[in-house]
Amino acid sequence: MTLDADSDGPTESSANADPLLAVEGLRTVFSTDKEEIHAVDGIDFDVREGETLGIVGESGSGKSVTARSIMGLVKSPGRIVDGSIRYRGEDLVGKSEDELRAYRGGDIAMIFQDPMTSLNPVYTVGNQIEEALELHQGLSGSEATDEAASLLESVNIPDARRRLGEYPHEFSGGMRQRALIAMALACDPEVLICDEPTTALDVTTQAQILELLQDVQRERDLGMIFITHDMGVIAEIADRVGVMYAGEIIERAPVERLFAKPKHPYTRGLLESIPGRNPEAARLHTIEGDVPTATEPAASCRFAPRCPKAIDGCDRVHPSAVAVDDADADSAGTDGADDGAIDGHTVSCLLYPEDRSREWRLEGHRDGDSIDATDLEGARTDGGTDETTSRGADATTSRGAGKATGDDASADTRDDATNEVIDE
Amino acid sequence: MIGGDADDGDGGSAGGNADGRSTDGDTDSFEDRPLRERIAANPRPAAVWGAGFALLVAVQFGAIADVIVNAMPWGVALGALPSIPGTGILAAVGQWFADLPTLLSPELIPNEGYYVPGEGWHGTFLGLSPAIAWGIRVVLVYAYAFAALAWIWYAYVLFRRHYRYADWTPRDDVVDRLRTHRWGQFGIVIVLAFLVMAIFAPALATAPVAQNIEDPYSHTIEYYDHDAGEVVETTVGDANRNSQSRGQDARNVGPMSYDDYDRFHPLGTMPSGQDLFTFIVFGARVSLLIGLLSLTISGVAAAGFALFGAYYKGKLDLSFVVMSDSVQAMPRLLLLVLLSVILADTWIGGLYSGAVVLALIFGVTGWPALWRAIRGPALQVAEKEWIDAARSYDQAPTTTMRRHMLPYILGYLLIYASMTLGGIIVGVAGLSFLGLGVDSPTPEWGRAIDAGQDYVTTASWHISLLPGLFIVLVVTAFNALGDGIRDAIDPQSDVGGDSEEAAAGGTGA
Amino acid sequence: MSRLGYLARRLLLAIPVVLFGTSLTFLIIRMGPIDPAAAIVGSPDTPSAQAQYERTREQLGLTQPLWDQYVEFMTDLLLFDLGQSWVLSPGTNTYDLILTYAPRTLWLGFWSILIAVFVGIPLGFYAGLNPNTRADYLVSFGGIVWRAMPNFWLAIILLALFAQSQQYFFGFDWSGFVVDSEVTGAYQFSDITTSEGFVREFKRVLPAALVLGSASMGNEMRIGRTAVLETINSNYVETAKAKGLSTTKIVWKHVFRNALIPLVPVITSEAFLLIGGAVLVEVVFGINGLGYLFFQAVINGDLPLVASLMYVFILVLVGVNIIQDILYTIIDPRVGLEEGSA
Repeated sequence: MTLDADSDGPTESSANADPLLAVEGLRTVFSTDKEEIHAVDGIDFDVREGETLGIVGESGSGKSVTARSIMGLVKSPGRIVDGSIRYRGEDLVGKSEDELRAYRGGDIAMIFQDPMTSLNPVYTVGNQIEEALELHQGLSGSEATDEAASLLESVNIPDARRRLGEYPHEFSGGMRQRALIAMALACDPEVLICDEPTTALDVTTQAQILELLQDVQRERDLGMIFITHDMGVIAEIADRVGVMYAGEIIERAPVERLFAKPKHPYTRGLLESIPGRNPEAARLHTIEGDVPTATEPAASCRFAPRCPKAIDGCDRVHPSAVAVDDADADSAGTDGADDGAIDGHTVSCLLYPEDRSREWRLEGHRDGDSIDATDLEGARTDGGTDETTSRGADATTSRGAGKATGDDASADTRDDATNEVIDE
Repeated sequence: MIGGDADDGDGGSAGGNADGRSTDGDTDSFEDRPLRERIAANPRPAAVWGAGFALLVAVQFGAIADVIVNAMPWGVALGALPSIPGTGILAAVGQWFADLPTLLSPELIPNEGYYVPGEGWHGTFLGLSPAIAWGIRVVLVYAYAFAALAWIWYAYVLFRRHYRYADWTPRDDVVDRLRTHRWGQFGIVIVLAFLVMAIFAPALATAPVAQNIEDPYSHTIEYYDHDAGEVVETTVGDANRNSQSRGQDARNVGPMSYDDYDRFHPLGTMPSGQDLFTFIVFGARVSLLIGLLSLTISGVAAAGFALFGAYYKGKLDLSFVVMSDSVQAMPRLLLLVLLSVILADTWIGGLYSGAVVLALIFGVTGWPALWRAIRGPALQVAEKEWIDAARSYDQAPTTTMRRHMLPYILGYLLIYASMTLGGIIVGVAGLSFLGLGVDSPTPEWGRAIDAGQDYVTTASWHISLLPGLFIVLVVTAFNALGDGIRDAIDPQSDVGGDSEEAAAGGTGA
Repeated sequence: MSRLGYLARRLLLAIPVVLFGTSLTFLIIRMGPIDPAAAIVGSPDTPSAQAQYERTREQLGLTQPLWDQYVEFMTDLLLFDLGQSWVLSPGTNTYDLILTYAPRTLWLGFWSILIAVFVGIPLGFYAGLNPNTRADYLVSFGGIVWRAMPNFWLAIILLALFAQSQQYFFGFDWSGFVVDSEVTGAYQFSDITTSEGFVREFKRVLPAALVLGSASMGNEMRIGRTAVLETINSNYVETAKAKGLSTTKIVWKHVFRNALIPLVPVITSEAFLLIGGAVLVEVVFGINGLGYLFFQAVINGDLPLVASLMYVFILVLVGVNIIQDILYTIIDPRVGLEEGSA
């Protein structure tokens, strides 16, 4: 993608297309005595001004670690081992704590999951907002108080001036989240990361907070990353969605598209588990099991053990992203070449591309990490059409066929073993 | 269901009972066969274990009987009921058992003897030097004790493998967490070493306590008189008088040295000439006895108050708060001083050189700290649904408390009891230091520190320094044990702070 | 419940505590086998001694029914009529005794609290800010061991070391350091306002204060460490970081103030340890302070003095508890909301 940006850079005139924040190949690992946990395992996404990227996944899928990685707030023993996080072209990975601090708040602000504990209980709400105002806007004294009051008003807290002098425990949960939003806005950020900001709240409050966040984003043209496990919330707020599972983004698409044509079995499972989405079903669909903890580099599909559609091979080939922009996709015409990668629909699943044989797909995905990454991506960025995808994939197959004999033999024996188990 | 729930939640009741097999109460509720039948179905592991255990008991049977007959404060019970027919016979039988030869005794591996130039050692084990003979005994005692503990642990392992239905119970997790808790393990090892020291005191001491400390002028020893060139007999008292440690190099018997009577002193002698090591091991016995007795008293009181207070709440709980605050409003050490002076002249003050009354005093003044520490958990458990359920079924309140609340707070009680024990040991030593605690001739660590305080910077530095270091080590170990148990039982707890310090802070001694 | 309401409730609760504690003292003293009159005049074996014994019993009010004695005992104390000493210093007013002995204990207590607070808390905070480093292990382990040391033993060892400092501290002469002073002994406050007198008395109180504060210092290190660690990992500190605040600001503003909350009871509970522990330290260091006075009164059977002193101690400790509650209400705005029935 770096290549794309470089090659397309000169011809791109609209600033809108230049991402505010671009994350590429990000890997965050927690090393303990016993094991290494790959909490975030090579994810890519970007966010542009005025746009909301939703990241959805179950708990333990690495969403929050992603957010903290961007903020440079990964706690020990976690660390970013690979990849880049570019804010307006500047790579944040590898920057010192002092350099990072310059970006926190003023450029990238964050709202946390638990409003009950995210405010310091021994200082007034006003104090904590004014602290941000002083730091990022140089306001102090009565100026800061006025601004803080107007911020509280803007997040719909009535009687704002009196509320400034109150302590967090005198606020309700929804109020605290509003105060936290006001605090984030006091930093005057460009990108706002919301890490499950509504999870801890009751349903009516949730809706109000969502609405507030949308208003705030529209007013200030913020780039927003919205992290949640709630598909319903995603549908409401996101422009584009990345579905996260065990540290990887396994499917990404514009929100309407994802809901209309989910490709990955996991995404389908998530959607089916939303109450009321398919009223004819007798009982609610659930996905059995939990998100596994990734303790080693992916050598298979991490969803395979829970996957209802798992095929032979899912347990030994790690899927790579496949573009699934169908012929009816409107993207081909309207979107620029570059957007094919961003706005397109990709899925990391061995079931795709659907029109190919199983062997072809396995082979294609197996090489995906080393060769196909460029081929497939390259194919999509070239035209973003089905045709080019298959062209690139074709090349892969022919290239793979030459050296495949040895691998195949062993793969076959393993196949047999697996089949036997399954037959039983 | 109700019963099952509460029993499953039981993470705290002490494991490792006498036969070491039926430790797990938590699986009983859903098992249909009693343990006896399960063993009958597969008797081999249990039989092997039982045989090993019998062997371990047999070699030390005399000593075990001795502890039961002589080291326990039977005087308290018998003193209260002086003339029950049959106690004499019972005592005689007990004494007979106590006198049985045991493997790890000074009789079997003697270390007292004398050296005759040209002939070597007389009277010691295999003619070895007293230091070596004593060293062998110490090593054997600890080897035996830890083997016995390992064997009891093995019983739990066997039970888990062969006789328990459940593959997993919450207690397994507790055990696993303790396994990786280095700090707690340090505590366990030192605490066990301390317990062994107290229990095996007669076998560890270089000389019998009656001979060396309690009644030296009624006992005699033989030694080789260089001037006369022959073996002479003298009273231990005279020997002690000539083996004093009083600072000057000429009048000092330091650690790891012999006195003029060929007696070996691993930690040197005291200003009175008594053997410091013997004094310390028997002092450990007194400290432990007072600690356990007083903890039993304050633990029972604290648990009772916590349960009733949490169950009935309101005024009852408030009255407990006032009571405990009132006791705590008196400076603990001063209260202890006052009580021990006032009770010193009563009949109970004379028991076991005052140790029993000390235990009572520590127990009576110690419950508020323990109660404060477990009141929180007790109030928490009283809020649970199953308590309401039991109430609505008209279960008797005491039954509810015993079956559904007590198991939950026992673990916490254990934590704070462990931490408090260190404080009690220090407190007892402090009172003894002031001359108010355990009286002569019963050894107590504080009195050793007192005796040596004029000699700290002299050649006889060992008298004060070493008992003090022992106290520091034991108290640290009990705190570490408490930390370990806490982290094992309740890894999420951030207890800390208030109540823990209240319990561990001790007396200010 | 508001914060003031909480405070009022705590104040109200202090009244029964004082009453009950004082009653307990009466019970202990009167129920024990020690006969105060006999302690004063000796055993009544001659007729004249017998007569004097009876007179003393009369004077002490021991001839009245127990209930009346109790009522009189309580009213006297509650009206601050603390009576006089009978055995230790016959005829001396208890007030005068306290006024003579208290300054020495206060001087000792003041420095032991100060040293413990200003050494223990910073060390604990430092360890908490640098967890799992060598310094942290040193502080944590040192705190635990320091706390486990019996005061009287530590006192003996330190006293010996300071007395012979030239031998143990490479020729450093403690008693001649800055100003000449003995290592220990009763404090003299006559020239405390001069710098030399102040330094001298500070030097003299230092070893004892170090000992008396040892347990508290260990506690403060431990609690300070855990409190800082917990605060650092809290969500509001993460929020503060996400705001872009500098580390210094976060530590000083958001970590330390919150970490102080659990330290409040530790600091105030020092008063308990100090009053109790002062007995041993004063005995070892030869300081005739309040603890020493109490100890002497107890072993000499001066029970009226014992009762009055105990009453004063109870008042002091209950007062300290109230101070603790006030501190709480100042430092923690949540007080009174989460607190249950106590």
